[in-house]
Amino acid sequence: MGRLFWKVALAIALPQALVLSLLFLNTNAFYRGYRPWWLEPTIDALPLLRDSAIAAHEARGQAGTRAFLDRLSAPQRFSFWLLDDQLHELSGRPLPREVAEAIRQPFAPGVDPMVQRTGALRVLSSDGVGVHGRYRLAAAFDLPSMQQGLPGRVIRVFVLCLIMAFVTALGLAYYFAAPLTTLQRTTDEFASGNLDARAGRSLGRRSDQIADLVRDFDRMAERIRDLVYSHKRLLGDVSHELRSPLARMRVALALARRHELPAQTSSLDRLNSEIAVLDTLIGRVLTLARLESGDRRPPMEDVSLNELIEQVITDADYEAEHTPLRIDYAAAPEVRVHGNAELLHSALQNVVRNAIQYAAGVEPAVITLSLLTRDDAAIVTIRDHGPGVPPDALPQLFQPFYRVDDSRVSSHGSTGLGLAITARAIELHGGAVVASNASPGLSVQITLPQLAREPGSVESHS
Amino acid sequence: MNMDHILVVDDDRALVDLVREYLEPEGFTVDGAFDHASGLQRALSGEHELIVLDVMLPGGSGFELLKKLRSVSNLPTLLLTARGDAVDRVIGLEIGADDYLPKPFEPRELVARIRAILRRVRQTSDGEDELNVGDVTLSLRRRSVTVRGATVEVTAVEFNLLECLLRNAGLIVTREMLAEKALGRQLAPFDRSVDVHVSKLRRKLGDDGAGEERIKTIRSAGYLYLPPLAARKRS
Repeated sequence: MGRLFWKVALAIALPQALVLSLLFLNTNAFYRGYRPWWLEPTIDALPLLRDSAIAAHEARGQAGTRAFLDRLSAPQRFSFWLLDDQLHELSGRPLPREVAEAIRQPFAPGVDPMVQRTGALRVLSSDGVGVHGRYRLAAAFDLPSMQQGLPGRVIRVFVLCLIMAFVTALGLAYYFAAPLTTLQRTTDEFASGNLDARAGRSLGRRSDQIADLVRDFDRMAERIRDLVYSHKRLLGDVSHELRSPLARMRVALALARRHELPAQTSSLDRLNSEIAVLDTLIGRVLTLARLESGDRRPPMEDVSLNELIEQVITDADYEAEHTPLRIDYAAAPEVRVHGNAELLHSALQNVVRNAIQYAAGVEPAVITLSLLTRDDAAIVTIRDHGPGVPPDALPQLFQPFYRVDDSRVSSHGSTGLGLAITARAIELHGGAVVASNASPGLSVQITLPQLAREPGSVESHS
Repeated sequence: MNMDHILVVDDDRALVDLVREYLEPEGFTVDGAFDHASGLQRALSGEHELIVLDVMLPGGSGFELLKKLRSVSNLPTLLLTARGDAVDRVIGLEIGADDYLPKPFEPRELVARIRAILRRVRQTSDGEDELNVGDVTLSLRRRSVTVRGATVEVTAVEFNLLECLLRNAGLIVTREMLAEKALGRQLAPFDRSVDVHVSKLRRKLGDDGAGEERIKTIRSAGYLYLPPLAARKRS
């Protein structure tokens, strides 16, 4: 999911979570701070109760004390004990250990009643003097729920609310963002050349602005694809149809040459070379059309890039024989790829020819060619020192019939299709071509997936 | 000089007429057929020395015609293919074409190819009748192949290829040499003709009885016909 998804989800979920948390904290604080109604009066009445208990003890002994304290105590809330100055319990009521421990302290002057907490209990003690000596009244208040804050079921409700807030937020965000994410991915795919990419398949019967947008995109894509295909098909079909007259022209020309008069020679030569130009052009358009339709894969085999490049350089040297051109070449040894040698050769040759065209007549008239390997990729870089290409024209360099400068219309065999064929051929091999300005000059980098190095030559039978 | 009778199958009538006009002074008589059905019928008539066949024919491609033709006849076939279409070329050779020529072609090249194929078909040995290597026997007079007594149907090019390999059994024969001997021409760059013919031949011959392939590929060198087992043991 994309960023939009998280933005929408958080925009919905965070305020809800914030409100819920504040509510929870407030309730909890309020609940913790709550003191039962009987607490304060009982504490206030402690000295009075103490004196009454002392009086009961001195007048009626243990049984009287017990009866009095039993009547005072209320289960679940508080209970009372009377102790002498040796901290012996006087009523005979069972004294819990934690209470006994809490009140076993010297009588401190000034602090009365003394309040202590042990666990869920709050223990109070108050000292007083009777006729027969000193006494201590102990009281234990049972405040379990106050100690622990909100009860579990209330917390569970809060947590449930929080989870529901997040779930609905995620659901809503998905509803908004999912079709847009699909649309964005599809647009990307479409832009990078897959004209069959469509976004609306997962939409179902949904009907709102987002769904309409997605459907509109699909209609637009359909139309663009049809236009592009008919354009390409037209080019391919026309070229294909041109083969027949061209074939007839060649034979007719050959027939004419049988009875050639000296005065006709130059015209017939001209005719021959023009037919050759047409033939090359048509051949290239058909090659490109075949590469773009991609319905028939050319036969692939294990190909040595080193050999291919050396062959391309030999050809280029031959073609540029009468110009002061130099080709510098550096290569990693034994780089092999899986591919069609003929296609790869023409892909490389087209780039080199293009470089030669632009390298001629500039200083230095040098083309730099290198073959490297990086990880699993073979990288061929071809660079000239010519004028380069305006930056905004770089991506269009690989479009058919694109020319950087209209005034530079080809004079010898350049059809404007070479680099387009290169790009399609390299893509067919799972590689990529990138052009960049090396200032001065243009640098074209071809990346191809490299074949794993074999441990030894498999085919050499001994 | 007796005229070679050539059948040209192409739906472009005007081209066939031009080709006829061009070929006749070169010593050929040309018969034309313009579709799949009549092309096949004429090809099976047995009157022709060679057929020039365009791959793109209306009413069934040239490939289908060739496939049907090959099931009954080894009539030498030169295929006209789309320029630069590697798939067409390989399919054509696989089905059994002897050679191919991209269309539009240079007429001189057409004549050269036709002559090369015919020359190879008629190649006669000087005196020898048979060539024997292991369990394979070539009858040079009848241009037929037998393996362990059973006849194996091969095209003219395959026969020449096998003859060349057998004469050099145990030695590496380069692809260039095979092209020269079997196709009568030099290999164009990226020309896989020899390789396709060799792989077909390999399939037709089967293994050598010891589970080994008879024809070995020697990378970036050529091919080698494995000498018979007995000869190998001796060495």
